[in-house]
Amino acid sequence: MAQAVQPQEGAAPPAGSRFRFEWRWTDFFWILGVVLLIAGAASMWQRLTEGLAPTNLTSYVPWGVWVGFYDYLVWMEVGSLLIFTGLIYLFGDKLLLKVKPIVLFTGFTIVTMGLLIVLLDLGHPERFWHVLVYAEFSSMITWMVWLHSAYLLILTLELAIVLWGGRRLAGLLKPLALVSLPVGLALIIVSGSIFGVVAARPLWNTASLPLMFLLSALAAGSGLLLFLVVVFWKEKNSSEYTALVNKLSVITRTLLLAGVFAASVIAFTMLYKGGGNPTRAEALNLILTGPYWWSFWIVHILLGVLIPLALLFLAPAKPLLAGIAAFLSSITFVAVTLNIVIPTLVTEELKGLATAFVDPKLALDYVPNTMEWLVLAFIFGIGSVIFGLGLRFLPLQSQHTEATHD
Amino acid sequence: MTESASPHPPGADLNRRDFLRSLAGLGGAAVALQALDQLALDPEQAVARYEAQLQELIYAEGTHLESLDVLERMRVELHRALEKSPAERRWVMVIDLRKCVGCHACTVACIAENKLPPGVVYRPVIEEEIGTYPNVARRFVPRPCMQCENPPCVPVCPVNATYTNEEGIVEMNYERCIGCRYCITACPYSARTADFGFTYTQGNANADGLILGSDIADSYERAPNFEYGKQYPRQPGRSSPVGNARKCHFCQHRILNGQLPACVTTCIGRATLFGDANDPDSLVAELIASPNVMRLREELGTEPRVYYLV
Amino acid sequence: MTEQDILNKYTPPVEQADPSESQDTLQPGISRRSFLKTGAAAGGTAAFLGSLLGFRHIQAVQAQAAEGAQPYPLLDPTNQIYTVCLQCNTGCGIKVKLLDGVAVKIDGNPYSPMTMNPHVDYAAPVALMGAAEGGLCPKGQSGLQTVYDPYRLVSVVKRKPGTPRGGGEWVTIPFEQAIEEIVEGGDLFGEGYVPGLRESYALTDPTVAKAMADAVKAIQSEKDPDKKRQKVAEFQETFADHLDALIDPEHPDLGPKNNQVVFAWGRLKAGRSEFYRRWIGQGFGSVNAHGHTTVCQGSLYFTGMGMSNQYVDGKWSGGSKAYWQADLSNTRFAIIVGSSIFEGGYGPPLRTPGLTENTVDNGARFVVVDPRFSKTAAKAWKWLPAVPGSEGALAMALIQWIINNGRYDARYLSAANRAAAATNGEPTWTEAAWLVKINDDGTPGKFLRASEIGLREKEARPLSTDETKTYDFDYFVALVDGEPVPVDPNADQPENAVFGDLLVDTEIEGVRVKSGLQIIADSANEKTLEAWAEICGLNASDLITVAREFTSYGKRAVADIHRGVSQHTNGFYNVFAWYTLNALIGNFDWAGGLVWPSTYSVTSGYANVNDADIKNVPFGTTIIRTEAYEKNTLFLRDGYPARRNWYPLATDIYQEIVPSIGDAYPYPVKALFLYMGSPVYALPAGHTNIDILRDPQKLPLFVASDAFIGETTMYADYIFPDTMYLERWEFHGTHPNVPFRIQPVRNPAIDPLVPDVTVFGRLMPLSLEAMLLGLAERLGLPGFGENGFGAGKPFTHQDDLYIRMVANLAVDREPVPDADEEEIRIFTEARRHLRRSVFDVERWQSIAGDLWPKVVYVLNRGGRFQNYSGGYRETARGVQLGNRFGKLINIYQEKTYDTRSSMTGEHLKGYAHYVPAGTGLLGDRLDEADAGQGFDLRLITYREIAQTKSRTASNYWLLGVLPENFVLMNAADAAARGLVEGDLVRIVSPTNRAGEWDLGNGRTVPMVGKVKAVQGIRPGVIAVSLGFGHWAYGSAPVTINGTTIPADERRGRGLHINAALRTDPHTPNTTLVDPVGGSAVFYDTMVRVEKV
Ligand SMILES: Nc1nc2c(c(=O)[nH]1)N[C@H]1C(S)=C(S)[C@@H](COP(=O)(O)OP(=O)(O)OC[C@H]3O[C@@H](n4cnc5c(=O)[nH]c(N)nc54)[C@H](O)[C@@H]3O)O[C@H]1N2
Ligand SMILES: Nc1nc2c(c(=O)[nH]1)N[C@H]1C(S)=C(S)[C@@H](COP(=O)(O)OP(=O)(O)OC[C@H]3O[C@@H](n4cnc5c(=O)[nH]c(N)nc54)[C@H](O)[C@@H]3O)O[C@H]1N2
Ligand code: SF4
Ligand code: SF4
Ligand code: SF4
Ligand code: SF4
Ligand code: SF4
Ligand SMILES: [Mo]
Repeated sequence: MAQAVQPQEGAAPPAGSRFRFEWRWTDFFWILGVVLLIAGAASMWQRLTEGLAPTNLTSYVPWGVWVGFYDYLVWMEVGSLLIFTGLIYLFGDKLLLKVKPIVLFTGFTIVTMGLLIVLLDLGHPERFWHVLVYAEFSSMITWMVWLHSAYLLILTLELAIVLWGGRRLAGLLKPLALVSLPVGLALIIVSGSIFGVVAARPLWNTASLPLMFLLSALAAGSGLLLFLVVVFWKEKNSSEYTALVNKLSVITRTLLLAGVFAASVIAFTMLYKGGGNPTRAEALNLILTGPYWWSFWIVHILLGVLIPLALLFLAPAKPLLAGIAAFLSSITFVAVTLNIVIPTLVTEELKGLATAFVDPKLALDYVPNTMEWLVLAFIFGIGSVIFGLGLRFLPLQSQHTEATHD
Repeated sequence: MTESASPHPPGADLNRRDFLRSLAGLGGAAVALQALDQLALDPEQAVARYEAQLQELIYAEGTHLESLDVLERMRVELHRALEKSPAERRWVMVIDLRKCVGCHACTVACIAENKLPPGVVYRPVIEEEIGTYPNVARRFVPRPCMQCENPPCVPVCPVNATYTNEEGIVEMNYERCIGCRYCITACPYSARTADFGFTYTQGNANADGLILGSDIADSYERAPNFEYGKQYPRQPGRSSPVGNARKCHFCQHRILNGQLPACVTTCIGRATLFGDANDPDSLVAELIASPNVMRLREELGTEPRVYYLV
Repeated sequence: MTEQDILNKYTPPVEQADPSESQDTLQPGISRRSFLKTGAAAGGTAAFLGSLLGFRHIQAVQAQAAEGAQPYPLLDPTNQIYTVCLQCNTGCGIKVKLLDGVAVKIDGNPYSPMTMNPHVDYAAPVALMGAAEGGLCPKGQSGLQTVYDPYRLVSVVKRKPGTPRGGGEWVTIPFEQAIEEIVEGGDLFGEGYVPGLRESYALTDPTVAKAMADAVKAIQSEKDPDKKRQKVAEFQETFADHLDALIDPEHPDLGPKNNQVVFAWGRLKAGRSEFYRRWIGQGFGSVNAHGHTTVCQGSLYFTGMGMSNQYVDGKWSGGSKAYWQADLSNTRFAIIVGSSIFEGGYGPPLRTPGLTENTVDNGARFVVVDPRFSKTAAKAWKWLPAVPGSEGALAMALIQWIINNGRYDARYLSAANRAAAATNGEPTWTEAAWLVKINDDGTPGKFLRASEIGLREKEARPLSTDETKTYDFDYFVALVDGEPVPVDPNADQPENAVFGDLLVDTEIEGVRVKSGLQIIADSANEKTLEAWAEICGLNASDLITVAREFTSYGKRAVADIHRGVSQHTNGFYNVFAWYTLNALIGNFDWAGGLVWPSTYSVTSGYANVNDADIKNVPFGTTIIRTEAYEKNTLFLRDGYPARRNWYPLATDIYQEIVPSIGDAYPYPVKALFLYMGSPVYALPAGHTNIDILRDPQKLPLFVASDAFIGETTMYADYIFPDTMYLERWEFHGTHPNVPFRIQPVRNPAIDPLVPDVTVFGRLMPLSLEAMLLGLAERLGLPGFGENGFGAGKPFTHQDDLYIRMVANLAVDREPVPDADEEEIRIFTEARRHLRRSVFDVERWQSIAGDLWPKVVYVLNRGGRFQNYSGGYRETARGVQLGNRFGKLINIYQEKTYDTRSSMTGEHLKGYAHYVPAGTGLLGDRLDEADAGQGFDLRLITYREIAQTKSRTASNYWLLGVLPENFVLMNAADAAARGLVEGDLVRIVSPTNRAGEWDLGNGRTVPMVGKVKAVQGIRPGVIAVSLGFGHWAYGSAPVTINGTTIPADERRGRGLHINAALRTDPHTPNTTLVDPVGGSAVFYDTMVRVEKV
């Protein structure tokens, strides 16, 4: 595997003078990124010049696949970091420190992508700064943006210190990590509350939603963490590795099970209470049996929960399977966020509204169009390029340790 | 041979001088009407005098407001309310569903008044059929913004671009709004919509000298609207309100100019009524005290300022 | 509301000096004191009070301006022009708000009673009206999109030579070239010689024309066949030199070749009507100027004409082409039959507030008779979903119950003449008590005359038209307490009042007679109430309830009818029955009863605009045959049945124009001009017109004035673009539901979006007027040019006509006041964006002369509108309408009886009676036969509030309200056919088994639509609304000068079902018709739906 970069804490990257290009498997990331950038460029251009018009978003379904992906990315990232940091600093699992740079960098990449998505989803991205200047803290979006920015800041600091901070600053890492815990937690809760506080939308408007978000984030995040460990751990033969994978597998499957249990309880109550709150039941039914039933049952439940669970129960013996399980579960969680965002919106708030005034942009049937997917591709392209370039040029795969400071 | 049409002369805007001139004119006409002895009054003086007479007329004992078109009665009341300070008035709308004939004129008037683009509608009218032949009913429910007393759309705005003004109207600050559309999801009445930047004629053909073409045909769509007392021409580009959330504002720009909201004046059923609920003598104050009044989704605690009579 | 309330609301008691005078209060100089006083009582004035408030906005704006906000310029009176809507034909007054010359908003003109109720005092200064505005329907609100339509034509287009009509390929040509080609003819399309107009302009000498016309009159009035032939021979001798100017010298009564040029129109209003008719009639000398009335509500007009004839100079004549509608604002109980108050009709902004407020606030009630649960029905006390076509039966049932139970207004009905009515305090009277002779077969015939029973000798009386001549006046007869008494219908001295016995069936001097009312009673008793109810598919008990209610409110009950009653094969008699029902309570001219339309005149006063320097004298048979068949020499040739039906009791038979051209009956046509009409789209079975219009052999030249390439004009050879409604002049007139005397004036509000052309050396916008003037100039038609209005009075520009007409309007009855300086300033400034060819103060002023300030006064208000108080008047017996019909109402029509069917030769019936619907010209029940063939659903049509006919599919705002129409059917019918909401079905009929429009150019348009399964329609009936399913008008691509203009898919959604409507077996290229009233028939076709 990669040998070119010297694992020298805080050292500058090798000088260009003796640069000699050499393919590595991690180049896959930025190459994929470039492909995605190219694929998404035209749509991105459209987004920049025509705004949200070319999307399939409507006035009645104002949030779509982008918002879904945003939440998904937040889940993944914050979830994985919560577990990671928690394990290290609350449960003293020093082993994980070894993958700290890559985990932090992954986090940094994802958080950046998330921010980009939020930006692109705005009708006036150029006014993004309004959120900072005219902040209105009764709005969950304000909190989200602030927390998200704070989180990005903390992550960036952490990462910078890990990469370049040297021993002098390493002392800041723990406090930073500890700060990141409540911030991350808050971000997840807030991103759930964005929906949860909306009394207008019965499916969202439950106290359990932010908690669901947390649980899901942790499940998705632990999957991601597991995946990162499986992919980037250097000494695959070590017993530490097997132990770590096992531990993470147990955590992941426990969280998955907990999530399934919690979701079932909630769903049951919602459907049961359906008589009392038909709109809520309608939206829920839309998820379960509507046109996108497959995204819930096949993508999320089958690919994202059942298969990973099965694999994870086998994982102790086979880290590879655990990795696959982790991969599956973490990527399919996007179906959950999408299923939370979209079906709620496509349910009429007032019966007959959709036909009261008819326009493609006043429709209730929303399916993301190619342009939206390609813009996402572009953003994932950016993420991939950052990630790939990081892997190549940053000392990310050093097996970092902070033990000395403890 | 055909010659091309002359260009439109510019400059229809009122400037202060035009103003004074029209004031003078108004004074003159008013004076003539009242058969006052001298016509060559100083304009300011004439205006003052006329104003005084007007006051007297409006409040005169025995002036039967009922003998006006209800539109005019409400306009008189509106003027009365405008004399109070903004905080003292409480605008409410009353929609008498027994009189609403589902004509959608209000929907279209609102679109025309506020130059709403495709995808934006402030006041759709919802139609519904109930019953079984031959015992059938049809219900028409116009749905403007409820101007909620507790508007769920307001606290969710991250930048305070939407807020309740002194008179209770939930306003937008287009320049401030970042277009996150959170308020849209938060409104329980779907009363907010997003401006995606379209025009109705965009994409239509242009063929010089053969047909009018969309470049000329969209001139009315490009003309400014006057929301919130400002002028928002819809010019190519993406300036507000393109990219914003938009909503009914009780035609505040018209109210301040002494006019009822556009959906009210055009209502052919005279089903949409408007006024200051704080004025005990107003039509709306009387109506919202009737037993057959209801509000939409009251269980949410939004306290709408739009009342329905059933 | 009590009568007193109406009075309080509308009538200024103090000023009410002479009730016979029109109540225009136009004195702006009244003292403040009296102003206050009337302000307290009179609605109109009080409304004015409110309007004064417009003033205050300026202060508000100013206050805002101080805070840096931007002004709201739309309130400034100099940014507003008052004109008239034409989105539908109601013609509501509008104010167009302008910003830099662009119309940016349209609202209701508060001076117009169509938009405010009560409307604002006409004397209110326009300066104060900036903020006052009334209500408009959604179409009125979206008018900008009609005018600023990207698909508007801006150049004259000609069918591309070498391509067929309807081929969709066009070239633009200069205006002058188009004029030249049309006038001179030639090989215009590379497919052979096309006769130009000059060739048909054969008879140009008015003296000869006059002589010929007289001779033809003599031929026609000759009843004896041999003598008639003889007269034809004499004619041929007398005019031997001019026979080549005739279409057919064997039939001189067909008229000159000039008649082979036909002018047809869809929507033509006064002003343009004077222009158009002057051109074709006095100018060109053709009798063929025909409008679209019969596709619209023909039989209402022509029954109305029959009922309004008066007995003058010994003849039944002078009936107006008009009808009655209800004063719904003041009625206590209304029966609304096939009339769509809230969705269509004339028109929602006027009638809706009256009805909603009257019901909700005053407790009035109404019943809706409509197979469809319309929006009107949605507000009704009762919905009676009667079987389509059974309206007459329903009326007869109500009549029966009312007469048999003695619940009619006997005092009203017994008044047999004007004097009696006057003693009654009634403005109108009827023939209920007159005696009618009964024929041997028991059928009623003509009125008994006093001389026939030796009661009173004929009297020589002077002619009303010429005092020096006399005619024989023969009294009619009524029984008074069983004794015959002579009746002079128009006698006005109280001593001549005759109150006759009402139910008479007897013999006098050997003559069997019945009273008018007895005939109606017998007709109503032809079936039992239950049998009538069964025909209607209703419960007899409901009918009794309705009849009882109808007779429980005195004069303030009314039945309002419209297309759903008239556009059946039995339309004439349906309408007749419903008006007869109204007559039973005598509600004509009463508040809350029936209104007769009244307008201000625009044709004379200042300048008689029908005068011309020299007039051509058109004569002959019209292509649509609006005369008695038996008089025509063709009768000698063909006998009964005629090849196509003749319509002596009607005019404007739209559905006859193109098919008659196709059949060359009564003669071939050389050129058709079509203005603002679309027979292919609008007519039932309009598709039959396509093959005729496409065929240059049948129709050598087809010229259209149209703003678009439309469903019919796509087949034209030439299309002249037109100025649209915000850019042009018209005098829109009124409707029978407007109790006020009005005349709204459509005048240019925006600068026309078409270019200017030069005609008679003057610049003018490319328009109908330019086309007509251009043709007139080239042909040298009399009545146009430098001396068009007489020596030294040019008619070379539209202003020459229209400004004169406004001046006429300004001085009709009580002249309007002069506009003061301020009004004139506002007037001119508001028009600062109009180009010289359209608006030029000096030019306008010079035409109006001294009347200029009055012209300004009228235009500043968008027309003339009588004040509210003028619409009602107090009488000893209650509140009546201010504008009255005030004459005899023919509930027994001798003239109709005297007319024979050109199919059977039988007398028509002169009284209300039930005729089944769905019959062919030869009398067979086609609907029943078709039902037997598996056509199991009756197809009807209706309007949605958000569309108008073939010309608002461009209104994208309206398409938001309703993007497409659908096939409305009862959920049970849908279920029985395995259909669910949204399924696509094809509509197939006996005469359109393919269920499609064949455009003749290789394209077919299926009549396929989405099912909408509802409870609100009678089972067995399906309904499809008007205005959708376009295949031209921007919904299909066209090629001009090789450039293909792409279509806009939004404009073509939904379906248009007229091609499914049945044709008549006798004239298979024509829809079913009402052979008496002329209506084109929309509701009597049986169809089947097929799932696709
Ligand atoms: N199915 C069905 N059919 C119906 C009816 C129905 O209820 N159902 N109703 C019927 C009735 S009541 C009527 S009145 C008829 C109306 O039928 P018509 O009078 O024949 O037709 P419109 O649709 O009013 O006008 C048609 C033409 O006018 C053109 N046009 C529009 N604006 C202008 C203009 O400014 N200038 C000129 N020169 N041309 C212009 C349009 O492009 C179009 O070609 O339709 C009838 N047809
Ligand atoms: N929105 C709109 N308004 C219009 C116009 C328009 O195009 N659009 N056009 C204007 C013109 S030109 C006209 S002539 C008027 C016409 O105005 P209306 O005559 O009032 O209009 P319609 O909708 O044709 O027919 C009236 C009603 O008759 C019902 N009906 C259909 N078949 C039958 C039947 O067999 N029996 C009975 N009893 N009822 C039946 C229909 O359901 C409808 O409710 O509207 C004018 N106003
Ligand atoms: S109706 Fe909706 S948009 Fe209007 S104030 Fe209430 S929550 Fe806000
Ligand atoms: S769309 Fe605008 S007004 Fe609505 S919440 Fe976002 S920033 Fe506020
Ligand atoms: S009040 Fe004004 S903004 Fe609101 S719905 Fe009515 S017209 Fe539209
Ligand atoms: S304009 Fe009036 S009657 Fe028409 S839909 Fe709106 S509220 Fe109802
Ligand atoms: S009814 Fe509507 S469309 Fe017809 S004239 Fe009036 S405003 Fe215009
Ligand atoms: Mo019509």
